[in-house]
Amino acid sequence: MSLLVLLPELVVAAAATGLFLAVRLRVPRPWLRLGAFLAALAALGLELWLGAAVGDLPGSVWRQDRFALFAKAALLLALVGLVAAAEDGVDLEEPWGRLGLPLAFVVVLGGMVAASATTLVALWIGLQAASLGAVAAAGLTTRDARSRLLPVVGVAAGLTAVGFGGLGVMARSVWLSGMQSGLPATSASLPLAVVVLIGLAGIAVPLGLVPFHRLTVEGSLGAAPVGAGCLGGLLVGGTVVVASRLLAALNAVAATWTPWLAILAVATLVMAGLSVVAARSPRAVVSWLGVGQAGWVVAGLATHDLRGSAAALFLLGGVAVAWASAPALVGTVEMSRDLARLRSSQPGRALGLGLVLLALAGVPPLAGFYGEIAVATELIRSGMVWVLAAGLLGWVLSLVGLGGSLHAAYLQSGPRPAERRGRGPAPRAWVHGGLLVGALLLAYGLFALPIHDLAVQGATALGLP
Amino acid sequence: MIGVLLQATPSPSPTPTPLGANVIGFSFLLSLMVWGPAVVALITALVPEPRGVRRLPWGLAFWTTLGVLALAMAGYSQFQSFTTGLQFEERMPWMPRLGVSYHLGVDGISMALLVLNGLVFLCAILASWEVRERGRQYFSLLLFAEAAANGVLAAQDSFLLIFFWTAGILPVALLVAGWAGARGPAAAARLLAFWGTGAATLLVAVLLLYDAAGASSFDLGTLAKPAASVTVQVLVGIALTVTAATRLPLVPAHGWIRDAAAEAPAGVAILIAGAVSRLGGYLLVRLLAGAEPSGARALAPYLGALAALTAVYGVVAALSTRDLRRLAAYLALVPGAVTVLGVAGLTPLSLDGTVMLLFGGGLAAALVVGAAITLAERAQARELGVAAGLAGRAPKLAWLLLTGCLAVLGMPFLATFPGAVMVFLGSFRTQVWAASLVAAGVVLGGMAVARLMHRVAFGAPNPDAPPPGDSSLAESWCLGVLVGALLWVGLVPSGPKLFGNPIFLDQGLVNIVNSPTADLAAPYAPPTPPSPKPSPSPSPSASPAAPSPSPSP
Repeated sequence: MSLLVLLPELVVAAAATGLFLAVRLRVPRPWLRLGAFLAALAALGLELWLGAAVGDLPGSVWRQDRFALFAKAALLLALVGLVAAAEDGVDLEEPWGRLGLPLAFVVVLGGMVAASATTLVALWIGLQAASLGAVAAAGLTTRDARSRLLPVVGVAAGLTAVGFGGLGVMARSVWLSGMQSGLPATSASLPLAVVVLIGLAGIAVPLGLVPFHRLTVEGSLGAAPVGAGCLGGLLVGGTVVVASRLLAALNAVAATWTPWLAILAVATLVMAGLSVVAARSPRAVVSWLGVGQAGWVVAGLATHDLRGSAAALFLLGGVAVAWASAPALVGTVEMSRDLARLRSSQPGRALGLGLVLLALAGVPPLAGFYGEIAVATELIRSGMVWVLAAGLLGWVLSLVGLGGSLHAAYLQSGPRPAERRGRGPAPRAWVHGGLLVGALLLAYGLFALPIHDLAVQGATALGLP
Repeated sequence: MIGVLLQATPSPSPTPTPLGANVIGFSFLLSLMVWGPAVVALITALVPEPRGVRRLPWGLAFWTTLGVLALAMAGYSQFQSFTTGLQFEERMPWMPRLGVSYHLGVDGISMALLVLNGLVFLCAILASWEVRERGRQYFSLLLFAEAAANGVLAAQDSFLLIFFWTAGILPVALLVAGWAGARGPAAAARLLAFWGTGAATLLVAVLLLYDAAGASSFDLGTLAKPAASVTVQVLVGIALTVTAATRLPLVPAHGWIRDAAAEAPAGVAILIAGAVSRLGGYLLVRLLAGAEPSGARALAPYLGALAALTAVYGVVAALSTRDLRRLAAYLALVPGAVTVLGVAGLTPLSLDGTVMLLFGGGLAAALVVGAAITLAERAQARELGVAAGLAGRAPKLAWLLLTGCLAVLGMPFLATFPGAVMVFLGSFRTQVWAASLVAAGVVLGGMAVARLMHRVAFGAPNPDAPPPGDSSLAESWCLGVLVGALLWVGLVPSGPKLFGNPIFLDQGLVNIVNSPTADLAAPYAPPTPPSPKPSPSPSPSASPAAPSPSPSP
């Protein structure tokens, strides 16, 4: 297998470094954005072109399979969405805020490492790189945020280290393929279940699952917009990649982790729905809608078979794009009713945000809907009716909560665009990256045939039955 | 009239191709009807209103809806009656690994309801002439709702069905939230909760069927084969009943209708009462009665009870309220109750009547709600005591309201009459108590209508109230179209004919819905008695009971 397959990762790493330097050299803001957007687009194009080649690098430390292709493409697409949406975000106004963009590339790089990982160590490194990048991006604005988020991510790293270490010891192998053979169905036991539980708890933190949602929800509430996007779509996407690889390796002993995952999914789905109804700020609505989608993804993984995992991956693609870009589109708007001002001055951005919110709530014809139905189909096929019931309850609650937010944002009379002295009202900014994100989320459903096909191939590559 | 009704009972006899058939050939007629309004809605939402061009969003919405109605009429006129298969079919793979395809098609039932949608949405647009505030949002949401409602009727893949069913929820809720005054947001939240629950139960029902059918295809043709066990069929039936109950609505899932239909502007209330809520009945006919015969049989008594409860509750609430708009909203429950009684009856006649009533009931509910709202707006009052004796000042509106009320009760010469008679004739045999109670509800409804008309229209006018004006041109047209359709179908349910040939491109609603309903009702048809075998003529000696020939005197 050619080393060329690493080119997308190289582009992402180079872009992160280049953007760091560009921030340091005080490159003008528009160039910074343009460079980031082009780099993300180039990496995505290269991944789709070169990533189709399947194989292992010498020594089997790096695997490029259909799963890696799908996961990396989803993460890069989310990065494209985030960069496009961050176009007019306030992050870029401040010196520290500009570091959000290079750090987003670091988060994606971590996820890409995990997507091609063949060992527990590589999985752990990828996850931690993504987590640290996201926390750094989210905590850049205030010291308070840094001091709150770093301990959480530290505990999560510790839990995953203990869990992964324990699994390696019990399987007598750090290779994921070795775990599949080292942990046959007969080895399912209470100690193994405890070790898996610890590892899953560590994964649940960056995944934002209830009751481990502090990092994802509370962290993103006080974070800079791009940072919140990193904590949301990008980090959650990377963590789902880690979870998919790990759980596929543990599929023979699924009895040890399926109940935990199902319980976490149920708690997340119901709590997220209730919280969306109670949320008053658009950032909170976005966070909880995203957490609800994470619940659906985890529910799909809990079915521990090919079709369920494929559905979860299919959903992940849309969720990652929507959740990564939503905070940047919300910007610094505090209350839903204040979005009316956004509608009046930047209709393009407001429209993009509306589409993103609808996608996160699972409303057709946007991406989230297709994924949710795919997961729901697999849940009923697997007999996990109670998880489905929780999912549907959460979905209905999300719909009710979102209805209130949309009404406040889009149907209440907003102020007219500011009058400029002697020249009439200020021009409305129709062109915005949010429109691109909205178009991506619409296209995701329309082109569901190849995307879902690739997700199925990805799940097949994980070796699931 | 009775002769017409008897003719309307399922009799799949071939007829000559109607005039106009195959004149216009569309291979994508249904896609155009579904996606056309959606695309125009998007354009309406995005394109800023140019200065100096007034009512551009209204104009876009009006011409789009008129175009959709024209397409529906074209499809209706060239529809091949007395055939049971799908027509205007479109199919392409979408997510083949999940068994999802983009499959649209209509049979006679869907075709009739597409025409209903076209009529009702056109009236909703006409009734929205006065909407000036945030017009772009209003009309784009209205067009999105139309696209979704048409999609539900055209969908032949259950994934698409859920897609359109769900897609129609938010636009209607936002219309209620944004334009229903101070109570709008709360009413919309209730509507979202009920309709969202209905969508969730619909998803459950479809997934149960999908799983029972081997988890390989979402196509309704596959899922509609009653292959599932009785338990699954009953579970599916319960889920579908919940879905339908939230839409029609049926008591106790009616919590949203009072505020949504009574607080919303006339256009929104008309589309809710006339088109969107009828989809609940359509779902029961299509997926419960049509696809799950065992489940339908098991649930029939409960459906009958729900129908009776709804009819009696609606009428009692209408009798007890003093609010004109709410009274109309309660009266609009009655056609839905009779529709469900027809499904509960589970006889070919009652099911045929149900489909007829879905059409006529939609028109009647839209008319009564629209006329009451317009009258209340003209009188600037909703209290029955305050808005009184309006017939003198607003005669057109008073007569339109009266026509709507009579249509709700199923009076002769109106489109609801054939359906209601068929439902009652068909279901009295199988659901005696439910049919009796619904009939009692309809009779009580007559009292409510008499009270309403006495107070509001023909009683003594209120000297303290401001003098009301009559309906505007747009309102007259809007409500007049509904009255015209009610009369047309009521007078010539099997289509106008000249020397036995259909004219005006109308083959007749009865003929359109006849064959698919007969097909759908086949499992419930009474078993034909075995024909007596021709026995050899008995010989006098072999039959001792036979009287011996007496010698002639």
